[in-house]
Amino acid sequence: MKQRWNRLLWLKQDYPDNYTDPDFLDEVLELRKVQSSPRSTSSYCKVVRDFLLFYHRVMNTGLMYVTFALLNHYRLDPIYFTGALTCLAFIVAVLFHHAAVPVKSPLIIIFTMLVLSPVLKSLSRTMSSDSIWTISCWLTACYILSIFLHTESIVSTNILVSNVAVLASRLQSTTDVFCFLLICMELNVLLPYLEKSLRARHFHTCYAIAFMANNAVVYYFITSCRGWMYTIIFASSSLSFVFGLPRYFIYWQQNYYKGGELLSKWDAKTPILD
Amino acid sequence: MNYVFWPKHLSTSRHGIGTVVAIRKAGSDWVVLAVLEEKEYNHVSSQDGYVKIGTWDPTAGFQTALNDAQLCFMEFVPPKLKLMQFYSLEPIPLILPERDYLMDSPVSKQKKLGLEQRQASEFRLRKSISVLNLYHEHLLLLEARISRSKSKPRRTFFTSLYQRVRKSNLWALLCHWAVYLAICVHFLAITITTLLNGTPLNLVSQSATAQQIDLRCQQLCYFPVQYLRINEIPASNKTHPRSECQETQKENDNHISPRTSFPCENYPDYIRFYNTIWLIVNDVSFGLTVGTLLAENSHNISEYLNVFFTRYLFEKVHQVSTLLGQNPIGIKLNGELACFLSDLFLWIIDFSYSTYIRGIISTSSIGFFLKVISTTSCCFGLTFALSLIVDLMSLLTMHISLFYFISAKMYHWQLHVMRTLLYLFYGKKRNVLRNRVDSNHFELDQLLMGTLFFTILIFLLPTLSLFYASFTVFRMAVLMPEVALESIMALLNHFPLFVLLLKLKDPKRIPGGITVKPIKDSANSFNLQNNPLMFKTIFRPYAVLMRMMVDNYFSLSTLNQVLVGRPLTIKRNKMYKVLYSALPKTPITTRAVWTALSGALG
Repeated sequence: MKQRWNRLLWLKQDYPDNYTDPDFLDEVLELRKVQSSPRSTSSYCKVVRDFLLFYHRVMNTGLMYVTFALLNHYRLDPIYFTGALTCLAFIVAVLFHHAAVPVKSPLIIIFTMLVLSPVLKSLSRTMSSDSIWTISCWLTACYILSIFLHTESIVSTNILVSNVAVLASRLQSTTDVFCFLLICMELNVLLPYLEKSLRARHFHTCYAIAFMANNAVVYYFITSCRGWMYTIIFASSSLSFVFGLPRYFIYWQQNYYKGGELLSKWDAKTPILD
Repeated sequence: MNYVFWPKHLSTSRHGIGTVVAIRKAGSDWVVLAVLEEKEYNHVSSQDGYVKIGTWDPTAGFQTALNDAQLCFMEFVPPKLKLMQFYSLEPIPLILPERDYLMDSPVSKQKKLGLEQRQASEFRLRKSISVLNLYHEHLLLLEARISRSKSKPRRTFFTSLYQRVRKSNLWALLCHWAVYLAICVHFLAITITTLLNGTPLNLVSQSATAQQIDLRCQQLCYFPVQYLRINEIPASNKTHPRSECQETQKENDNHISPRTSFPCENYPDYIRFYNTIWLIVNDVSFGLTVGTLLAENSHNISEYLNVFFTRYLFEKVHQVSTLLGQNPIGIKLNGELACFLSDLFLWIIDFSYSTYIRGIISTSSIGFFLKVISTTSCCFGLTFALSLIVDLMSLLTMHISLFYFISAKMYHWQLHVMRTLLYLFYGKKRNVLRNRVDSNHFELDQLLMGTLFFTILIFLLPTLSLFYASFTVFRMAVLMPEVALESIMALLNHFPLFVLLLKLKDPKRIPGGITVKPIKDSANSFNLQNNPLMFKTIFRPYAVLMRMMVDNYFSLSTLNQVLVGRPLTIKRNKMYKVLYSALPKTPITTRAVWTALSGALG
């Protein structure tokens, strides 16, 4: 039995050079049909929702900087706030799981932080603040990139933790370091998890409240620190990101998108490198 | 085609018309022995292996009587066996054949293989060379046969004296005394070697002095074996590797019987034996000079050394350690860790200085050590003095080695932990069973802990690596003089002095193969020449040692090791094994020596 013809140039095949596959004409007909009909694209609402989710994660990261500024610059006493937040997290965990809360893992985390906070405090004493801000800035960029690429990757969590550790090494006292670590863990690891479960259970109102509160805190902080000008610039750029970019995305999908089995079949192939 | 080996002096010496007598053994070519006159030839019978192969005419030269049209003449100068000259197809071994594996390199292996392939085709040449080496013996036999009817060989005065002395009782007593002494020394030497190489301590790899003692003891153990071999008394348990075995016909009716074994196979042993003896004598004479110099100037030297050691072993190290704790040259170190390490090292320095270094480097004790060293040097040789100096130096620089090992260990651990945590950062884990990196699901607490530790370790890395780098430099500075001294020791212990002098005096005694060159005027005459050993072959152990040293200290893999934080040590026993190549791996037992020696006594 003769081997089936393959659309591969580098394969030596038992067919003449000008051989035309019988399926080829059918494929061309089908291709015509597809090209004449309008292309289906994703719905605008869905794209906006995805962009909003990403925006929300970025805002969560912003909360970390807000906390840091409050501790480092405004010298707030973090103990009460941390205690309240931890209690809240505990209550929420009890409410949501309706079962025994795993005790081991949080205890290990808390004690590790407690042990390591003096070390962290002295970690970068001899370095200048500027280099720490630069390192933190790059780590944040990496973090945002990693949650953009893979939402549920552990690399993003790890980058976040190292960013927190780097920032914490600038704080004045051991208590501050410990509280900052704990707050950041709760805000950036537990809170997204909570919000995700809220969405999964269709508690949209709760989710909306959390989202609005998050935004309110960040914008209030920007306004109080930097003035209205920065708030307006920041808000307008986020609005254009959430509502403008999806339009562009759909336009791109309509005209340039190369996905789809039939459409992409005759495109130039990119090599798959192992 | 037949070859005729023709001694050169036959062509030049004055002969009348005569018969050319040659000898031929199984598998060999013709070797011409002499030109005999007609009446001399009548005494020679062909059953002894002597054959007339032609006639010699001073005007016309050689007229062949063989019915072979094609004859090839190989002219050679007969080797004088009494002067230990001989021909050999292969270079004579300066190292023991059983130790040859130490020099293994792919090139030499290939060469060996080629040799084995060639051996079959060169079998005839090999046989002929064996006959040719015994030229003078065969000639002696021939002459004895001719002159037997005329007169007995005269005994000279000295030989008769020698014979008489050998038969006297005093001589027998002396021989027995010598044997007992040899056995005692051998037993003592072998006990010391066994003790030094013993498993729990293995002092040889620890200290240079122990190694030097071990070397001398092994040499002492090997002396009886070498002596027996040189004098051709078969050691009972040793079978000689006979490369060029030669079976000579037994001639019972003759008073000069040919040798049953080939004499030149013991010549390498002779060279090795006397090389060792000469080196030991040299060593002692150097030692006398240096020892005397040391003893004369001991006061000045000890004062200078006191200042030198105090400055470089205590003050400088102290200064650097203190400096490292205080953010040197603007490098951003972690203050706490740097302070801790600096304090630790300062404490070690102070402790070691106050406990033993100060005691050792005080002027009076240095004077004492100098006295010990100079005495050792005078009694046992320079190498012992040098090895004592090396050991003393390693004792004095122990704190620096300690710093180095501590910082290397910490640095290595840190790198190792960081690598593991980096895998964790990417959600991977090293699979030890399959030796690969697998994906793994980590719990949140594991991730948090791992990442926190990883961040901390990254920030601490510059501090530790700076400490590690500075102490590596210190360690190198300490190691270099030690390595230099040990190289001098290696030279004094193993320099092929005897072979080099033989190469100057009589290159025929150290054959490294043969060359066959055509003689210009005639078509079928060739010149057989001896190639003396080349310098490359003589210094082969040194070349191997140099390569090993370069591999050990100046190679990319060493740099890699230094970067990774694996400690750098002198692999003394591994390196100098190459130079032990003239000694057997395990010394011969005392019992075997006893049987051999008492057998030799008769």
